[in-house]
Amino acid sequence: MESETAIDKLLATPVAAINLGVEDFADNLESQGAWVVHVNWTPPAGGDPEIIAILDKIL
Amino acid sequence: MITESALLENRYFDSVFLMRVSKRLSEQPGINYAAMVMGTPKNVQILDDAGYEGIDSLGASSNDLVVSLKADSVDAAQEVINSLERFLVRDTSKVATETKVRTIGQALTQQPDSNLAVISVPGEFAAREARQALQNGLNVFLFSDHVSIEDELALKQTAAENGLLVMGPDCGTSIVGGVGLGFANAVRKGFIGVIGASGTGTQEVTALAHRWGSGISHAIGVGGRDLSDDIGAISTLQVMDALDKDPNTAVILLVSKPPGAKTLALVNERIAACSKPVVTCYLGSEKGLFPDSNNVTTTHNLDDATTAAIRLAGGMRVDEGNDITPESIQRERLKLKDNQQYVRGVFAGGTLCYQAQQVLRDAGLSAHSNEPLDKDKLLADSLVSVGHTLVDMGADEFTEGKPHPMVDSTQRVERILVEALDPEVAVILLDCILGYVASDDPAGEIASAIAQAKRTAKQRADELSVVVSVCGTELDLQGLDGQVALLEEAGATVFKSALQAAQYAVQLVAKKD
Repeated sequence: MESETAIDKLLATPVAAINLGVEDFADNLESQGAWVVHVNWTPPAGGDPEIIAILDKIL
Repeated sequence: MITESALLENRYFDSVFLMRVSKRLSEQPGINYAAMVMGTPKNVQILDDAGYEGIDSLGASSNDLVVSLKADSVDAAQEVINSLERFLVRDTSKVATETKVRTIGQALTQQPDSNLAVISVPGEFAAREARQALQNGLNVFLFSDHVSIEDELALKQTAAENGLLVMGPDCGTSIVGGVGLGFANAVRKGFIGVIGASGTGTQEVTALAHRWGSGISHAIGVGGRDLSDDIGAISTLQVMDALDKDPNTAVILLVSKPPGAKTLALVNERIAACSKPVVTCYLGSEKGLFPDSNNVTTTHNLDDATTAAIRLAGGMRVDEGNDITPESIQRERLKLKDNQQYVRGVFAGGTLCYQAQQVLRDAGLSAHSNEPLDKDKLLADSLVSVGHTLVDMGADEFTEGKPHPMVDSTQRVERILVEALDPEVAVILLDCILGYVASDDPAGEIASAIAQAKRTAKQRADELSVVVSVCGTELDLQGLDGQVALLEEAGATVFKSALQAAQYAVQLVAKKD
């Protein structure tokens, strides 16, 4: 018997989502009875690609 | 007309919210156009190119909100700018908006059983957030577009190594256990499992399956490039493994453009080992190019694919029927003058546009497009139709900095009215897509343009046929019957299948090419 992957579990259990970006998507999931946490996302480091690259290296 | 702009520092809002507010601003007295975007270099450039003067001098960053108004007077613009906060208030009745969570890690603390990250941040940040989601053991639904093919490959390889799935990028639609992600129609549960490398293709087959009496176990989007040789169907093969094991799936339906040659071999190998019947629909391929074999049923369009899947799932297609007869087609044809030769398609759904091109090609008609089946049919200018033209209004050139036509039909309305001015046009072919996240009233948004287009033709003593396909179910919030009625009242001939609508359009212009 093959081991159960996270994909198998996704198909077998209720959706419990973390939403990043468009807030309507979180509202939409919630209206369908799914569990959802909306992340109050903003561009990291003010959106500066150089600082983001540095952050990604050191964190 | 004057241009006035303002900058709100460190105020981040998502793009869909801003597009909705922009629309409200543009409806204020004295305001002709309103643009409201986050101040990324790309957005600033788009506004600058669109003639919003002085934007680059604001010195905006990606976290700053940029508002720019084209108005009749400085006073009119200033009045709106001074009351901006009133427009930026969200509907707080929705619980999901109350969160103060700022990272995936914090969200996992709040909801430890999370199994999916839904990511729709701007494309330049999307791969980074998807990587973090995977590192946290989450499957990813990646709605964002403008993710490079290199990032897509790296994300999918990382995911596969860890038994996780990346749906996307640019993934418009999935249905997981009955829950619609992104643009999805409300459908009943059933035994058909869909793998979709095409958003509106997935919507169409799931909506058809529902209306024809069947249902969907899961419909998993994989992103339009997944079956290219660059990606090698990583997500498709993972989903096929999962659906093969899934006790609620009896048949697997794969919808995609034709796979790359190497990838086709991989997919065929996996299908041959599948314990369940598989239906493939490679849109855009020549008929007969992919023959049936063992447990594969090969189909050439979304309707045949859905019909085959229903049959293999042990069901029987419920025929909806319509009022179209050879006589009614003939009556409609007789209304057209000899110089009315062309079909002009103005689509919100890319796959539906693609399938319609295939219908024209199969009938020996050559259709131009901004997203053509054959490269030599590429429109020189997406804004200008030539002969038979089918335009995908959801393509990048129409959606950069502007709402997708499934959310807002403004650009489609303008195009419909332009096409109606051409006396050589016989048929305007449209789609109308219902479902989650889509416009609240997509039919209402295009109905007056349909009526206007027909009036325009009538003023030069022409009859113009308008043919619309509606993708949706009676469970969709917009209300299927009401949407169909609005379109019919406007004078359109309405189908609940994009294939049938395209075939009808072809019949109207047959032998007029």
